[in-house]
Amino acid sequence: MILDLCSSSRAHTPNMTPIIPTANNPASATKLRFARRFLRSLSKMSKTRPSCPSSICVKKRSEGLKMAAYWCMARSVGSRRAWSRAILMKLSRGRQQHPHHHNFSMKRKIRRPTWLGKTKKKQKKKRNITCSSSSYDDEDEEEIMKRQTEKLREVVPGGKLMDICSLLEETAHFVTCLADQVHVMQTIAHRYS
Amino acid sequence: MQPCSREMQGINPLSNSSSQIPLSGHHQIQNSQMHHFDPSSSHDDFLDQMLSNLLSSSWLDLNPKPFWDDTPPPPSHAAAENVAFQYDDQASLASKFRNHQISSDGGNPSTKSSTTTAALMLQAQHQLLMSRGLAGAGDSGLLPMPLSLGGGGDVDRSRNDVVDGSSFKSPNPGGERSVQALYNGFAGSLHGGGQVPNQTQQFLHPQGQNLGGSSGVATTQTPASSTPAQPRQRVRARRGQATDPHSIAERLRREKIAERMKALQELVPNANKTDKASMLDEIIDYVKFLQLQVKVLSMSRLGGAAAVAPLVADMASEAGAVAAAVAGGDCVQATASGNQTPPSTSNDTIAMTEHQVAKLMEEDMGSAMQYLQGKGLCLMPISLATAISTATCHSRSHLVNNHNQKGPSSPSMSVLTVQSATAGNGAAESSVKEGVSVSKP
Repeated sequence: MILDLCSSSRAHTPNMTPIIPTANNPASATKLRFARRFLRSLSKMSKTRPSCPSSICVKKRSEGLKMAAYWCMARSVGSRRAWSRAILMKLSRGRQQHPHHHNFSMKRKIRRPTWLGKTKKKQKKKRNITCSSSSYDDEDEEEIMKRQTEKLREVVPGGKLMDICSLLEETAHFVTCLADQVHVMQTIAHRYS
Repeated sequence: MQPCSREMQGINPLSNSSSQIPLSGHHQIQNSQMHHFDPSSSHDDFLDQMLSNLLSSSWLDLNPKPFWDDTPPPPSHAAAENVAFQYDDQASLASKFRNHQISSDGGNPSTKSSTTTAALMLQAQHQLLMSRGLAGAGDSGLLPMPLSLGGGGDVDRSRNDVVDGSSFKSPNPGGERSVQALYNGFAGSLHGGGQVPNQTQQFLHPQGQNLGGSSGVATTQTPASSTPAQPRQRVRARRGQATDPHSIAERLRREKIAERMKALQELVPNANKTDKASMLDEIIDYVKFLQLQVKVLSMSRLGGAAAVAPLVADMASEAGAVAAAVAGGDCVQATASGNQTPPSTSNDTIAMTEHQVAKLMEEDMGSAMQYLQGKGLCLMPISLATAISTATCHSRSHLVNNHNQKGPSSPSMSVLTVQSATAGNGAAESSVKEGVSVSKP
């Protein structure tokens, strides 16, 4: 399976897989680590998964799978990056409230960070806009930049604590890791679905 | 000057010179200076020349500013600033002195280089002296000197300007006395002990630098404007500005940010925007898109297509060029049982792709298009696709569903995805590599 990942990322074989890999998508070490971890967690999840066909159950399961994906990614990166540390901290905090990983997906009282789920925490955006939102032209560049960096901070985990420089750096690494993650998940889904 | 040389040997540093204002003390100081100058110049001759030159040059040109009124180095400046200011002074002084020297007399060609070093330094010192406010009569100025010499040690340890200020109190338009004052002050600074060598070293070094070549004179004349010539060594960009460290830090910070933005630009597709704001927008959208992809993938893998299907069906009524729909509930149900059983067929894969595209199109068309592009797929009208498929005869067991471009709101419409041989090819030229899964209404 891992070899398939490697080959799919390196070779252009449209006949074998419909997922045409991009030219600049090599199988990095982090990616392989993530793949391994993710597969392990998937197998664990499928073993312990109750087969309830209800949609709510499905939703929770998919939420749990998403969390598992992010957690695996963060573990593969390790503590090198601020965003991975942030993810690990948040998830471990979530886990402390709900000791079992399974229960985590079942209960919905979890205070999810905004970047994991699109919760309705939009007040942060409004708070920093001092001038009225009457027209776009009235706001000068500074306001626009501030708003955008705020948005970026929301999206990138651990972004609230960093200045712009490190925020951009973290975003770059986060984007590469996300792309890897998506690729791995797609390949897995392709193989097993 | 023979007396000078005679006294040179017996001279100790200036701790005992406090009582000697006249020429003997002057010589002592000279000698101590000489000691210091040893590495850089010869002993007697250049001093003679310096003296003569200094005496001959018109000291009255230099405008003494009252020390207490004017504050050339505001106390708010850091010591480094003061040193820089002094460097400035010395640089300008060096140039002035050089001009003086060249204009007054040819000097001794033999010792000119060695002369100028020390001479310029003395000149600089004197300028400092004058600029620090040499007010008052000549005689009275000398009196504080010895006091300063004695107490100069303590004063020196505090700050440069304080040292200079206290020791260079004599106005001394007179040549000899001015020289004495200069030497006294310099000796006073020498006397300071630990700090002194630093000072003198500092004084020496810019001189050395400035005298690097004849071109150095020209550059030192305008130290502030020489910074554009050195874009690399930017530690002291603009001199004499209070916001100096802040502006430098600000500039560095901006450069770092620009560099990181460029790196991000390469990562994110559609990075042809030059505007920073729009680039940030693109980045944010791309991150959101990737996170959405993860979400969709996690849903579809669990067979959450049951949840996806109603969402997709809602979109079927969407007007526009393309409408998306679930490619047959049957295929979906087959995959819904989970990831254990069904054999991998490209049919299911295509179904999954379609699900994802449908989901994405629900959120944002742009992201859906991007997603397709990332996979090397494109959207095309079904009529064209059928034409191609029949032409190339690559179709397998899958059926191609036709979707009308005008978009009748039939729930069984499906998105036609065509594999393109190369990503850049137009749809018309692409050959259908794989069949597309389809469901007939």
